[in-house]
Amino acid sequence: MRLSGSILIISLLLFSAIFQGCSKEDYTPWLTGKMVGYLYTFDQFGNLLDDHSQVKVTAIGRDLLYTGHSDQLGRFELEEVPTGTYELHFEKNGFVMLKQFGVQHLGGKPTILPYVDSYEHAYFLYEIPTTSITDLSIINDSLAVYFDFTVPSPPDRIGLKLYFSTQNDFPLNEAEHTYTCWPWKANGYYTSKLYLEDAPFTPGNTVYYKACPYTDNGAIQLPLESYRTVYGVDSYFDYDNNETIYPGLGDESATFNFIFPE
Amino acid sequence: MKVQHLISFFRNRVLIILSGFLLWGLISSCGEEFPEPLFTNSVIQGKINLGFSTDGPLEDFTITASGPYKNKTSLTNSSGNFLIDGLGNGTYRLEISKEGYGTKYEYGIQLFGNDTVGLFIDEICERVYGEIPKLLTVETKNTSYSWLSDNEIVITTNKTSGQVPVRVFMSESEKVSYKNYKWTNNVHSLYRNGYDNLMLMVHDIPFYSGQKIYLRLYICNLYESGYLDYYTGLWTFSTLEPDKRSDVMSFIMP
Repeated sequence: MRLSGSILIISLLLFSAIFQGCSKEDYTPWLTGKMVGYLYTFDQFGNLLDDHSQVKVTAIGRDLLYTGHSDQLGRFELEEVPTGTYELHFEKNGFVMLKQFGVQHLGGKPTILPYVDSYEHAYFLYEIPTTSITDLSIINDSLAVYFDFTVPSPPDRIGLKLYFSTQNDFPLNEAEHTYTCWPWKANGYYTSKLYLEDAPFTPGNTVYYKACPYTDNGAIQLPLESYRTVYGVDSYFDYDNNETIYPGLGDESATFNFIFPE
Repeated sequence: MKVQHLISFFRNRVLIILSGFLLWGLISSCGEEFPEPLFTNSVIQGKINLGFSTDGPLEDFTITASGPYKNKTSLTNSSGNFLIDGLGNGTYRLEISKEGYGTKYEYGIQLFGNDTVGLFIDEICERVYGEIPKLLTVETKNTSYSWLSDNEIVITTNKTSGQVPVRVFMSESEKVSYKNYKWTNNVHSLYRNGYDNLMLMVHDIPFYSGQKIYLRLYICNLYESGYLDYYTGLWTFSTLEPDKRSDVMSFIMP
């Protein structure tokens, strides 16, 4: 009888352990699945690199981090990621960090990142800009820029983001108007025509401006595959700091001013 | 005493057997293959379309939705429309298949709860049949084939009649394949006066002059333009026959 009593107790213990293990709350919300995504790396002037490997991708969830690395083609895979909303970080030495907020992952079959729609998308990661602006001038509707390059062969064209304000020494995020252009090299400096018709300034006003070298590819044609266009995801709204971040933005120049033309 | 021992012995046996059944029952109920969805009201619906030069009815293509739970399938109707309902929350992959046609996949379909997701699956292509002939040489403009332009090649074969539905994959790597390539294009079967055998001609090769290029051919529907497989990240051809392939050959880009 003592033996049968022991068996009963052991069975009950096992029963309770297994019953708890079967509880639906344990697995119903906790679907898991892969996150599979694609990224491309670029130099600081927006030229596509050959090797997109070794970008560390981290998905930050409620409790845990899930990490993976991109391969040469830029594909990355995070495994066994539970259902949830994630913040993604993309990091590589020498490159600016890209973040993405609010990435929804349901589990089951792989979540494809950035997302699947009619057009092909990928994350774009740019080299840290090393170019600085040494001089900047606007005369009427023409811009001239002088750069200090750290690379031996500067490109013939470089991206620039201009910030305007009626206040001197304004922070970039308080600019009253922004303008993006890609001046071309001409006799040692870079020039571009400006179109400021929609700028909120009155002719005759003194307007202050400064600029940052800027890389933003928008979309690329993959080499050798002229029919295949990939659209880039390369900026994000940072909910921690409540501002849009452009990781391809270089150091800001000094502030200059001009009289807003007729 | 002996009778009591016997009774005790059998009672214990019965208890052990009963416990065993109880445990087995619990374990087997616990070993469900699929979890329970929180919501089961989502729908994937859509329409398929056949590719250029592919004829045939649009009906009876099997559409399989695989996600976190047991797969659900549906068939297309005569207009090519399909609908799969009662799907649970999760991320799904859709497979579109039918005997004689290339199988296509759609990835990353997210169903949160009571969603209806619409999809248009374009360019379902017929599989093609054929054998790759014995490939003899790769000829460029630099060789005696002066009628070629700089970005064209012909591959000479031992075939004396017919056409070959074939696609070429090229790379700087000798491990070139349909999964590892830099450029692909369809190949034109060509007979030319003064030459005895079929030649396979490739146009618009985009590699640099002087590069050593490796190539491999696969049987594939010439009219399929391919699609991006979001899982592999590869531009993919649903009608390509992986086992019907040529040896690797190489040439120097003129």
